[in-house]
Amino acid sequence: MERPALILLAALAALAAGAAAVVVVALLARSVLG
Amino acid sequence: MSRGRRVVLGVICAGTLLLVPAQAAWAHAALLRTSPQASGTVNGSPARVSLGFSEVVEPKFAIISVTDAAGHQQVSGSRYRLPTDPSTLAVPVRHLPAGWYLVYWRVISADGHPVRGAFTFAVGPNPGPAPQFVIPSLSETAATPSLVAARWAAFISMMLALGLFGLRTFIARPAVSEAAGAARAVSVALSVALAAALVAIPIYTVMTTASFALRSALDVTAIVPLVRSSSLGRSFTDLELVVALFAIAAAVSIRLDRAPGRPRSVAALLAWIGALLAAAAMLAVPGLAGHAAQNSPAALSLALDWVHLAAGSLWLGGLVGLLVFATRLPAGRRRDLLAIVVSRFSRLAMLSVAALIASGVGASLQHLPTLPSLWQTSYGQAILVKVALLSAALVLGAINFSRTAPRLVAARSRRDAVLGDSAAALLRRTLTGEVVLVTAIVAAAMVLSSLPPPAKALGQLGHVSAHVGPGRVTETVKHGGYSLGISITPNRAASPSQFSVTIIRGGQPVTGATVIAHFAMLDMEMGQQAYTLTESPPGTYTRSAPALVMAGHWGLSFDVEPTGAAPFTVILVDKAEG
Repeated sequence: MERPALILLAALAALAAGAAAVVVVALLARSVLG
Repeated sequence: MSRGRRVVLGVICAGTLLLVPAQAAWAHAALLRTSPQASGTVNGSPARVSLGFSEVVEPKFAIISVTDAAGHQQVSGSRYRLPTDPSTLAVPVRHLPAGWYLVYWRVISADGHPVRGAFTFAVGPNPGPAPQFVIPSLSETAATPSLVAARWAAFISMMLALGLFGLRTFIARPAVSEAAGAARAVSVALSVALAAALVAIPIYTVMTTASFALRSALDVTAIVPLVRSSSLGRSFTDLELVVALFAIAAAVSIRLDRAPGRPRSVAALLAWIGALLAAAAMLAVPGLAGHAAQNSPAALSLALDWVHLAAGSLWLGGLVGLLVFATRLPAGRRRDLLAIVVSRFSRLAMLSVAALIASGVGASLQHLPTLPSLWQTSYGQAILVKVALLSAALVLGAINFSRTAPRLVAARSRRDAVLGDSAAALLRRTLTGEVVLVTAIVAAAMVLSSLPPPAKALGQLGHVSAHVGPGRVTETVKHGGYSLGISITPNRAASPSQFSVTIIRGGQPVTGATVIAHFAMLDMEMGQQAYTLTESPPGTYTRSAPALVMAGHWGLSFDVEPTGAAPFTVILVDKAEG
């Protein structure tokens, strides 16, 4: 794979990690706050 | 808009937030109803004893014991939640002969605080006189030194990681191209903080679950399956996952930002946004796991908690990052690069401190029902310790803001090496002092978040005529032209006490009055009780009742309505011991 493609893939993985963290906390908030 | 105006606008917005009134809410699992009724008499043995709480409590961590006057256990099975009402716990009991019984209970609140209590009931028709029960300890706290230390380790490493990330990818970014070694040192510090957080969070979670289950934290095989049974345990296991996601996003973000002198590439920007999202999510978890989520309005207290933690993290992590960065800068460029980074950090630190103070004041207004509770309760005292430490840290911060940063900038423009070196030396000393103080503030915050906030009942109490107890009470209170001789015997928790009020006016007993005694628990949220006192002999109003159902401070209000005269209320704060 080309290097720019790898960089973009890594960036998307980081963005997905951030989005996943937000989803985890949103689910937690829903369970705590009812 | 100028920077000054933006700061003023921010302060006004924060101030407006503080004006939103806090509504009363249950801060803890409070016992609202019992079956059989507390202090009541039932005709015939009940099949079960049930306790209805103000929130859903986990049966796995609950204790309900029912003992007779001789101390024999009467519970015949394990506790369970009522299928029709999940906030009610019940235990089956053996066939109970006529007599008095003590119910002792302990549950874990949603915010992780253990709550204990006791009450008695009698099985009739002829239960006989109430005995003096021996009551197990009614006080339990989440603020033990080992739990506070573990909580501190988890929070400080998490806050450091967030602040170091902010310093590395934002504050120090303009200087990174010329100071690759120093930037690498900050990244290494960030990795160490993240690794420490990933170790400290599970340790704290296991320790706190062990304390809920009243087991040793070393009994890991028994504790781990219980970790997600409590609200606090679920929040902290989620926090571990979110910190791991932040670590991934932060590592990618730093690795992709390869040309720090120039604007970020699209890929670096995407990764940075990912890391910021994870950081924002991380900051929300402690509020959801603690007092903030149990307060009302929850959205406001959660927002205040988020801002408080974010500002604290940027400040603490920034200070440590600046120390690491300053020591690893190339000798020839140290003064110039420091001038850039320190002046950028000083502005961020000032905004962080303003946000810290505003959100801290807001949270205190929400949690403290009265001004005296600031110095009369342990919760208020922990806030005062935080304020004192913060004031000391602010003095050092002010030196950096008004002296060190301008001197570094002046030394850079004038190429004055002597001034630059002395400013750099001053910077190291003040930064070290600030780091020590902020670390101590976080420790005080951990004590604060482990203590139950004072009960809202304190705010509704009104003017207190006298503070009495522990032990037998004989107190004379004057009100208007009346003299009230109040006695409480023996004034012990969870056993019947004789409450008596002798009312005299102009040397004559006041007869035919209506006297109602109200009992409000002041150390935690609990429903109020009221009893009408009966007159015997003339002018003396008495009642024997196990109204002080747990140890601690009680607000006793005596509503007196003399015949043909204006009614009045006399309030005492009584301390009852178990």
